Amino acid sequence: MDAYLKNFGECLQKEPPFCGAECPFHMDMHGFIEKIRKGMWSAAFKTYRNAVGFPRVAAALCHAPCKSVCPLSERGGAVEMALLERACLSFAKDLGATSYNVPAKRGRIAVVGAGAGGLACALRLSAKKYNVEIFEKEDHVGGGLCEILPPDLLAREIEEQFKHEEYELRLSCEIENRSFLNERGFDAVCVATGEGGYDFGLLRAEGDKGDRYCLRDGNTAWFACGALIGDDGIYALSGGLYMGIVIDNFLKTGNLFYPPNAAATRMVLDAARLTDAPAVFPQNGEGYTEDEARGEAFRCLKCQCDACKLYSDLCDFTGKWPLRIRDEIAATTLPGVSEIKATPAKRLLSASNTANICREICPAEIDLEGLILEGRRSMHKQDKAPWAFHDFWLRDMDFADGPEAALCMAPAAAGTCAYAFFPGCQLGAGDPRLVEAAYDALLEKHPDTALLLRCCGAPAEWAGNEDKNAEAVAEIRDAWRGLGEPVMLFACPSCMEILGRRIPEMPLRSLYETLADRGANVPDAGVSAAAPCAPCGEWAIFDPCAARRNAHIKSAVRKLASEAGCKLTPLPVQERVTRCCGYGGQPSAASPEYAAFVAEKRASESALPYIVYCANCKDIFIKAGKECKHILEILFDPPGAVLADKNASLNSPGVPFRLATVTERRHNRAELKRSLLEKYWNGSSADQADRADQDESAARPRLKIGEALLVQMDEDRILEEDVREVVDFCERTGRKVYSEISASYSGYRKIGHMSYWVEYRPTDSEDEIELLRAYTHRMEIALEAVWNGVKTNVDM
Amino acid sequence: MESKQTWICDRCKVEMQLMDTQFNYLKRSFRHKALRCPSCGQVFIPEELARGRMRDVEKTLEDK
Ligand code: SF4
Ligand code: SF4
Ligand SMILES: [Zn+2]
Repeated sequence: MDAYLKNFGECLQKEPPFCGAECPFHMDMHGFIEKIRKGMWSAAFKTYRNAVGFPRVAAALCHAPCKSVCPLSERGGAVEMALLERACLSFAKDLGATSYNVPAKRGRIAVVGAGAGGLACALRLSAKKYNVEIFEKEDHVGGGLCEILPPDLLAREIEEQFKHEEYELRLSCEIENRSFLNERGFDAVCVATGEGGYDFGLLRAEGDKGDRYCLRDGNTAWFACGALIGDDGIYALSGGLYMGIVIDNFLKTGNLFYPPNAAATRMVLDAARLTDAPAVFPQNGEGYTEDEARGEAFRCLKCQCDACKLYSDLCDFTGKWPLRIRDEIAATTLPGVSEIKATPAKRLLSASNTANICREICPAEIDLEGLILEGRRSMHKQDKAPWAFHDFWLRDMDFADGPEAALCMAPAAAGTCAYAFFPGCQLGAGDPRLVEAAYDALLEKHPDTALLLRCCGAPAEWAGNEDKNAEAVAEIRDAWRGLGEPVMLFACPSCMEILGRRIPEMPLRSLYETLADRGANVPDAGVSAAAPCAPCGEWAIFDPCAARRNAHIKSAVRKLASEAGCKLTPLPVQERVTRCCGYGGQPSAASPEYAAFVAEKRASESALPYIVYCANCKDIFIKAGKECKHILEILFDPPGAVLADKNASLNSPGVPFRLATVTERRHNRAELKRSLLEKYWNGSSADQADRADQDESAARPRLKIGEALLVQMDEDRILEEDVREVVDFCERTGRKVYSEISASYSGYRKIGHMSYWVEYRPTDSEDEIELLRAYTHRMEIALEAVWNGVKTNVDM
Repeated sequence: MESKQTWICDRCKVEMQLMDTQFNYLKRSFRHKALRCPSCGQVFIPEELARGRMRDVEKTLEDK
């Protein structure tokens, strides 16, 4: 966790914009621009005045160095900051100085020289309510400013800005040596005697830490600023204001600390933010009208590092910056009970993708998703993660890795295998025909290709459950070794990315590269125009997040698709910034809203139908109503039904594709295993055992479930097996309640963490029960077996 | 309709009544009234409750 938190220290979000860094006063440009946009002239003026001390002087003096660094200077012209500042002077109703109500401070400061630097320093320090005395050898103030500005403007400005401050002014009083002021008990002296003025030894002095232009003499600290040290023009003024801060710091800490007043910025602006609007020029040739000024302010890009805001779905959805999310995660994962501490990111941790897009697009490589995964691990370790956020997929993983669906077989013919096909558990769940067709094609090419049906462990990784994840990885490693360490061929880029990371010694390749190799046996029939939805016409390939850095897969899929006759048009953003479809990290239980938001964003990037090569992308897009095909569908266009079971007709040719329900997804996996065993290994003992299982369940009354309820159950991720188990339980134990109105029974059973409820009624047929409702809750009904001190010994 | 609905414990053949029930979720326990059989204690949670108020409380607890 610490490494991630440290990584966030590099975040550039709070770096100043280019203009702000270049501005001698480091004015708060964003605040200034925003106020002008809103027409808040007095507020904008105040920002300006706080930055420059003497706004009329600054407006006359400043040559707008900020313009030299504005990224718009080559795109329509740098933002006309100086004109905007003058617009504030014209339009602000309140041009008065602000009175700061702060208590008087201890600390006596002498300012030598009443030119721009000295006056500015005196203004800052007197506003902080120090005791300030100005010594000026002439009989008037202003120094070099008197030569540049009309005397009455200067006099008015000085009077205005010092209006609320108290200070002593000693005119015609030349200071000749340090001891004069030392002896008078000043704590600090600011020397601003102007160009060529007397330096009191400061020009060659060095402070405690090697900073230039300062020294300690007895109890008095001496500093030089302004034109004396080479800061002329506007820099004399800004240097004097800065001096005020330096001396304030000295008086507070006793440190002789005087670094140069240059603020660099590490800020990086995303090129997508650049625009081309031309600078607004004042119609009257002199100054802006209010509208002109506001127009110019709207042209400003308000430069800020915000690649994350532009590209991270989580930042977009929550409206939060990574730094804020970091703070929330840090607070949430802090050990301790949640009663006494805030856990703002509890849901957010699971309601986010884990596809590392931040690190990819962030110029500082801030690893927001890495932090999120680390946070999930921390929550899991502390047993504080709500189980409901990941439970469904962990159970799904258990099924995929269990006896009904998992399979690890070397081809009967081959002695050792050079390859092993790892389709991943979701491809076969959604459409088992694709796994079969792909395996056929692989065997044709490499007869020594083994088959490994199971889950890659992603759900455990995404749940932060390291032990479970490590277990899955160890099993896969063992299976791979058992097969003679073949090259693993992956259909799913996510499995490939995860296992490539976890088992680095395992050689891997994507199925698509293998198929795209010359000589691959991709049936020509697959592209026949007679097939429904033939892949003629225009498509966009949607690259999954896990393939982001894998140029080989990307080009292999493109090659396959164009060879199949698809006309491909690139997606404008996804090709450049390959973002997640919303599946990665499985956020949909913790925040279905977030998952839908992401899916919609990806789906709407183009009106073209998508070709995907990740089974999850396909499910996500189909669910979002987007026309979409898996590349394997295009290549093989396999005959027969998507669904292994009873609903087969739903996906027959000519019938619009319907996604398999959660229940069907399990059947599909089991059926895939069964049919592959039958096809390539002549059935097996495992097969027999499964059949015995089936026979047993066939003995129970069938469940009749209406179409609407099936859809609802799928939405709620309720399996027919779950429902079956509850009905059986109610019937076996008699634990059910009867409703006279509907002549139905209701009852529940806790399966895993979840409580499942059913309402059902007998039908005219002995061997059929009609299901009326199925629903769940996450809370557990406690102590039901113990009621009124009577322990009922029901089978719970 | 819903208010007139009566539920009968199928084991004890008595009408379910609103009674104190204890729930646990995410290491927290609390009591709330729910339909129970006054004789054997069996609980009934209607769908509306599970999808409505209960879901809201679950959400709140998940965020805590
Ligand atoms: S992209 Fe976002 S997270 Fe990265 S440095 Fe910039 S502001 Fe920070
Ligand atoms: S675009 Fe705006 S914020 Fe960016 S450098 Fe120019 S003036 Fe500053
Ligand atoms: Zn009862």
